Amino acid sequence: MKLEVTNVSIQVRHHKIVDDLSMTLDQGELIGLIGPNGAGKSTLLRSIIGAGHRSTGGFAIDGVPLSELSALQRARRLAYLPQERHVEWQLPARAVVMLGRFPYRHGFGPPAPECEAAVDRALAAVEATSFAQRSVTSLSGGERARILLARALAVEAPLLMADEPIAELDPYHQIHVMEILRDKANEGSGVLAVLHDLTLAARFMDRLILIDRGQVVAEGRPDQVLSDANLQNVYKISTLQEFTSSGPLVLPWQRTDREGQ
Amino acid sequence: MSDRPRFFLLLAALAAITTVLFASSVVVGAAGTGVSGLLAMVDEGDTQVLSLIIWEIRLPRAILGLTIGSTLGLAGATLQGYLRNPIAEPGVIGVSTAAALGGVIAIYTGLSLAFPLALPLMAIGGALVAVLLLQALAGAGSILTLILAGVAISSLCGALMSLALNLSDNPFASLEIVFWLLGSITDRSMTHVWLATPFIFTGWLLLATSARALDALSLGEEAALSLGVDLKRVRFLVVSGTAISVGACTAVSGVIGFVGLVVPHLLRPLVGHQPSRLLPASALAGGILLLSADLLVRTIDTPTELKLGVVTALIGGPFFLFLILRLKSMYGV
Repeated sequence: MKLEVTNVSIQVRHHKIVDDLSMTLDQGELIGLIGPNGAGKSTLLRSIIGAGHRSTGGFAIDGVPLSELSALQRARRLAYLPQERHVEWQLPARAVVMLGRFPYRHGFGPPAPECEAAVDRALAAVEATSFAQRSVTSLSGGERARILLARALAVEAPLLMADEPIAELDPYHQIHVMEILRDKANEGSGVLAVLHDLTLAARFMDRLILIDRGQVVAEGRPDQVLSDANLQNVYKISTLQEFTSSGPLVLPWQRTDREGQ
Repeated sequence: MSDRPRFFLLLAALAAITTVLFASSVVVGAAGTGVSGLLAMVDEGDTQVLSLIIWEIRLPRAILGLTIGSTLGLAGATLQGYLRNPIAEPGVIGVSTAAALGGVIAIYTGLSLAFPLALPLMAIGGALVAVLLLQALAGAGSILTLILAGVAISSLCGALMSLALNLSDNPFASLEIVFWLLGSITDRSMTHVWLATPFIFTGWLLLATSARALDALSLGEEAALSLGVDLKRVRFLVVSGTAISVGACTAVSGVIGFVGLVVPHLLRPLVGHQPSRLLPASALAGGILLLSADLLVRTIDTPTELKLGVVTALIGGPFFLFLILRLKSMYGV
């Protein structure tokens, strides 16, 4: 399955947040959507699931416009993990993950065995089986982030979009979440993640899309996209870069527009 | 899941208590017409008076106590789930105040004197106007817009009720308005039951239809949307369902507060904090609370009968304070 975004523009009042942007997400690939704060990354993701401001242009999955799919059909094809990590009630972690099966459940009967199995798989994928019975509000930030990721995985959609899945996590959990996304892509799903960590983006992603002021500035392999010129233009930073045997190492180092320089 | 049997056991227990209280509500009454009094009448063969008391006085009161309590519990649970806020209650979207204003206008204009059913009818009309206003003001807006619209409607209706009291040159009408606003289900007839229940049941149906979406909404609106929840439809179900059912309740009983706040809050831990399961449990428990409060009102000997709304507020007010203290210690706010 393939998600295609063609010539999408999103205008809020007189300000273009996303400007004639096109991109694709194909099965089996892990894509990083990067760009400075306010570049339009989250706005783009939200508009793909039909939230937020009105947009022009096309969103399609396998050539079928998203507007022609019912909400449940879209939900089964495209899972989404929002940045928001607040769960209002003290639900058991497993019940939260079970919400990922919402597009497949009807009425108020007990969950079908397939649903239970999908939840088990998702919990195993994020290594959370041991605390699945605990209340989600009692979990640590890292544990809760994994449970919410498991919720998105439990949809078992061919496409997954995650908005800043590693924000506010410790290094252990950052790497853990990146590994889970990597595995998901290796299993054949198309995974798109919004990231601010360029080091992890360079290390884990197949492809990066760099956006600035709502437009795609560069797209391609991490080492191509994270060039000195691109980073200087878009992020106004310089980086230390090294190509190690285990992959590219990118370390943001200095602002290049410091006043007085 | 393994907690399903526990949930059904809870519902069965609540249903059993509801049945007992409903029966007591039919049997217990003012001096001379309690259980012994009723039996004495049976002995004396005075069955006509007996059936009159049961069918015309006790039964409507019991039915209204049950359905109004259930409505308030159900609507409170739905709104708390929908607004993702443990201190939400039917009052926050302004429908009870709008219904009350309708009733006040009926009393103020003297319409209810000429035609007694004008009061509940105008109150239901008030609630329906409130729904239309809410949908127009906040139909597609954020949850904050909805709450603000509710607060605006509520304060406007409150102001208009004060205006009616202020301008009223008839002290009896003023007194009647104040007493009606206190909330009561005394001296209601089967006509009230027939008038209110169609609206109440329609509201229940709308609210119950939103149950599954409320579960998904625990993750926030964006996640729920991505799971296939139609947010506009859910808002329509919740707002209209609350307005129609709570509006109809206010129409026959006046304003009865706090049931919708207290009941879902007490029940939440017992249903594993799941918003959808909270709905049937809160409906039953709301009925239990109101039937008990009404029994209390009937059995406590006071110079004038205590109003039901006064009793629920007396229970609910301190509970609300307790709730704030507990939230404060939980979140440190």
